[in-house]
Amino acid sequence: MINHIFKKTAKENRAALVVFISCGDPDIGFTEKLVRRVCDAGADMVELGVPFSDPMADGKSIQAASRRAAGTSVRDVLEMSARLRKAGVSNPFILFSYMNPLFKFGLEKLAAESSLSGIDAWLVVDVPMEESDEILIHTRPRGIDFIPLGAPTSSLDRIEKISECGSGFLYYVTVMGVTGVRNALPTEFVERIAEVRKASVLPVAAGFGISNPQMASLAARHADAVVVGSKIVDMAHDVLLSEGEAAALDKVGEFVGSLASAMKR
Amino acid sequence: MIMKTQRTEKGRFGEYGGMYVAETLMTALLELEDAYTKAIADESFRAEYMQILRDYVGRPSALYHAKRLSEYCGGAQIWLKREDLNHTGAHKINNTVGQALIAKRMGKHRLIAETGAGMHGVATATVAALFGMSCDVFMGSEDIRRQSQNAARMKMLGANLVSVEIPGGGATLKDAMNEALRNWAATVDDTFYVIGTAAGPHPYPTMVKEFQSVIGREAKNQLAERTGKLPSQVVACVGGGSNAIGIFAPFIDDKSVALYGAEAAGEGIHTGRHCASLNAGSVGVLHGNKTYLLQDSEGQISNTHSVSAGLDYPGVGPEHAYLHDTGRAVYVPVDDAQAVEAFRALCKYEGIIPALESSHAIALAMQNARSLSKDEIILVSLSGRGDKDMDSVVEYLNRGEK
Repeated sequence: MINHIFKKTAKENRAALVVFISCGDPDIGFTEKLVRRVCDAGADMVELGVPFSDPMADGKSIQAASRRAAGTSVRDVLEMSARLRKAGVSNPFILFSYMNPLFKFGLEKLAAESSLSGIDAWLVVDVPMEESDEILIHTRPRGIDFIPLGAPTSSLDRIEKISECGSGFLYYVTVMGVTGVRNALPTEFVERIAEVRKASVLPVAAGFGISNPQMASLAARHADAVVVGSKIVDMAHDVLLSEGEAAALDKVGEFVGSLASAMKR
Repeated sequence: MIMKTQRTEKGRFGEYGGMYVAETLMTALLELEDAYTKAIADESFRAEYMQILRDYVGRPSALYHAKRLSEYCGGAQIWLKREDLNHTGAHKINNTVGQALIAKRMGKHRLIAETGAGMHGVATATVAALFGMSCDVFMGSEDIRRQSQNAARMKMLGANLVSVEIPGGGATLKDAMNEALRNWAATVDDTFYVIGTAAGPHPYPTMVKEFQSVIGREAKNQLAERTGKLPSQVVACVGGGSNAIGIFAPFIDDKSVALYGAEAAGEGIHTGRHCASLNAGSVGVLHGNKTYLLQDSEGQISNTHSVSAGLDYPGVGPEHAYLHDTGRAVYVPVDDAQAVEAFRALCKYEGIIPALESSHAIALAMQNARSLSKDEIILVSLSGRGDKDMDSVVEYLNRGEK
């Protein structure tokens, strides 16, 4: 369960920073080091993305990352999570994927193994409220949070219902469309996120497109948590290619540090 | 433990179907479900739809007794439901007319579609022109190559053809559908997604079946008028399965009628280069619905192969998954070689050039006919015409000669 994070961040008068990592890009060994680094650098929670061959809700960055990570399995990610727990990393981990790899693994088995491997929550991109019972019957008894998603197209009534079906936080998709680096938050963001927070019974994380400390700082002033994904995926990949592993970890660590500083209200 | 949400039973066929999409699309799907339900209950909507099918599409389509082909096979009488004679050359237009009329009622002015062989893309571009709507069609780069005539037709009809690329090339229908869904998520306010097959999230499988069931209703009446009989078998090709579910629909409750779907076995199921999801797949979730998929042990979707672009898809409509499980319909793999042989047989004996997709159904009907008596009837959905496939067939035959 991850709600304790929000008690801590409320006390510290800041938003929580959630970092998305594409697991297995380019291999699980690098991912393990990357997760440790982003946690050390100030990420409060980490979304561990399990690659899927057909990432319908993702833009170019995560599509490319998923291709580079092809061959990485749910099992690989669970084992990595267990190793990180053994090594003392305590930040909440959110298993993040599309339904099919999880369904194929077996939802009941996955819930059991998630608990054993130190996974705190699941986020399943293509499972809306209407299909969530199939997951909740396995996650709830084990105390695994199911992170529901809200979107610009969701009515506030619907946001309330969505938030009631999940736990942990509500991931609010700030823009129409797919994941990917964007230069600014939508103009209606401040007003909308306030309404969404009022409607939601859960803390609200803002995600999709947030790619620099300025945007993160704006989001942090109005949301309970801020999610950064594509930018970090791109940065890790680019620097790894051009300057190697140590530089990639340093650059991402530095960037996550700047995002963490931007969480203060 | 109290579950606060209700799993939707609408749009479920046994365990299959459902609405597995990103939240961004949910409101649009629920609005579509509402608009569709109201439209279909509205007499004026049905009248307008049927009038367009009559005056513009050219329905009812002919039912043709293929005597020479039947004689050649030496068994049951093969009757062809001639969807190839529809305007635009396939069954796809039955569905695009219906969906475009719903788009109009919903006040959406832009249509998007995915397409494999291009027939659904052409049919969507056609209705966009008919109703004065803008249209973007997503098509895999591999399919644009092998169906270049259809690509040209869509452009001529005023559609914007978006070539979907994947690194290494070879993008097909699955990739086109991914990209269409991504585009829809960004444009859902003013855009209607015209799905071409009886798959995807609810309400599409139900809606597409409704609009395609005109095939089966007409054929059933025509056959009764001409022969006074029900067919022993109904045979159709199954990719996503829209023409199949359309011709099966009015026969599902007639227990004496056997239903057969021809799945594309490509180079043979044992080669792994095929798209027979019911025969060789397992249950999973893709493109909004739970159904049989070609996938690996980790739930990653497999690459597929078929000589026919329209069947080259790793999934199948959820109602077919249900009919398969219950045994009400039987799905038989038909490989590239059998399909091309049937393609040539129909040309030779009947002077009809069938689509390569439909050729899979012809092949299965020819095979089944041999084990039935001469007074039995096999009704076949000839879902499209084969002009678009001349290059593919020639390429296939040349490869065989080398």
